[in-house]
Amino acid sequence: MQQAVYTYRSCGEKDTDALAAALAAWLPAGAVLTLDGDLGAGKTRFSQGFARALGVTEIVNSPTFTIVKEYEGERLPFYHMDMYRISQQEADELGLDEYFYGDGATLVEWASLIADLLPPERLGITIEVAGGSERLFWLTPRGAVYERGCRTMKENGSLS
Amino acid sequence: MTEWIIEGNVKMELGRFLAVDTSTASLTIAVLEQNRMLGELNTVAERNHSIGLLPNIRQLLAELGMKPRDLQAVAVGRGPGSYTGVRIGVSTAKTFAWALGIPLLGVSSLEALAYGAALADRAAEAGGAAGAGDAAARDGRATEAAQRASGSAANTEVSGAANAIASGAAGVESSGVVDAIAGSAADAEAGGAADAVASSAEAGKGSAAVAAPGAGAVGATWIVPLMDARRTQAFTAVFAAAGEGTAPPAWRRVRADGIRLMGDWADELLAQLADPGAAGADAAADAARPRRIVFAGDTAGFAEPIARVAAQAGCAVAMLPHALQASALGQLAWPRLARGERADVHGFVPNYAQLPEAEVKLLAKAQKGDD
Repeated sequence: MQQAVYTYRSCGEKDTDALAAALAAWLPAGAVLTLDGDLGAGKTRFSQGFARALGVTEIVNSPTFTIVKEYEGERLPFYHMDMYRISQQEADELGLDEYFYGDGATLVEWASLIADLLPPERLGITIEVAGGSERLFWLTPRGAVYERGCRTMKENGSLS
Repeated sequence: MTEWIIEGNVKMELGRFLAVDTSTASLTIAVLEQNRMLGELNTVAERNHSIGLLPNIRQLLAELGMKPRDLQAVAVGRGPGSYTGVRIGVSTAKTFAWALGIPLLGVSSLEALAYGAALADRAAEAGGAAGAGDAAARDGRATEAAQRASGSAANTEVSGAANAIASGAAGVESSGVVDAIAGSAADAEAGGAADAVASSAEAGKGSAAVAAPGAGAVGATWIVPLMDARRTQAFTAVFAAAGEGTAPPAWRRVRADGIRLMGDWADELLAQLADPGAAGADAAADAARPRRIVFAGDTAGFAEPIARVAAQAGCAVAMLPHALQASALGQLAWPRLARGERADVHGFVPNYAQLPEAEVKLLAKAQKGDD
């Protein structure tokens, strides 16, 4: 079966926040989002919007140096990861499965660097700079929960 | 200053030691004097045992009127289990041993889980509850029991048992959750299996306990500890507990600790039961078949493979949801400490029983390249 891919065009941070909020509304406990895109594409910015939509009140910043940060969200705990600095083997030794299969929502920046460690069911997001403050989000759902969620978002016009 | 612990030394009677395990959701600590538990403190949390461990140790020692320097050894569950969890317990235990200058001993967390389950199972059998479990299998209540064990009710009971502090209380609380799920063919062959296992039951290394009189006539119970390792895998092993009554079981290992796909593990166990010599048993003595098999620990997620074993095993099969208890770990540790077994405090490392996944894939790639 061909892998469905959905897109979302953001003309600025407000649109990016709207996408993050729309996703946070239906993602269940144990959800895993992967986030890839060039430096400056807006991965951390998207993460902040996503965290806020989950009801995280703390300040969310890049976990590049801490690798993993945990936040208490009103709706779900939020686990924010950044794999930029570590090798796949190092990442493996962190026991990330305990987050992936845990009770919160996990967002992994630079997930492509740990491709072998990701759970099979997840929502892949790639951010592409489309000039100026415009961004193109590519969403690749893997697994029934994510496919259904994305399909619903497409039906109500949030995704194309 | 650690002379007290050598075998045959009367000073052993003064041997108070700390037992710790954080490799599962159960954060469990106990203080034992030889193999007698003085106190145990258990809490359950999916993660962040690092927050609770030291305060819990402080609390338990305070309740016993003890100070850290009153401890004469530390025994720790060295895994397998949660990556992060194992490291919390092991590094804390190493720190205690190093700072206090006392012996450190590592015990398999799977063995501790299995041994605690064996004691609970034994207490239940002595109280007649496990007998009722076997009866349930005979009169067709098996399916209902299995469903109940895999449902939320079972989890509730486990956490209840995990919170028991008094010695022996855990066994009593667990007695209600021993659920038999034997298939219809089980009882017809159980008698033969019991005979087959009889003579080899105490043939192990005799580490934890002395064989109870008459143990050979009863047949061993296989305890199969299960820790959910996600992605349909479990950390698991097989132990045999022989003897009956409330005496400590004659205890030996049948299969090594490992991470296994549960579907494959069910096949392996069935293969070993069908042809005891061929399935990779650790010793010839393990060739004998058990009288019963008890899957213990995180049974809830593995109802299907367990049911498959139950249907084909040719002996009674039961599920015992059970949380790891440091008191059981301590009881395994004591005779080993008394024999002078020690870990190198500085060099001691956890047993993850698992190649990091990245390494596995790297190996697979390398092998592909070789072809």
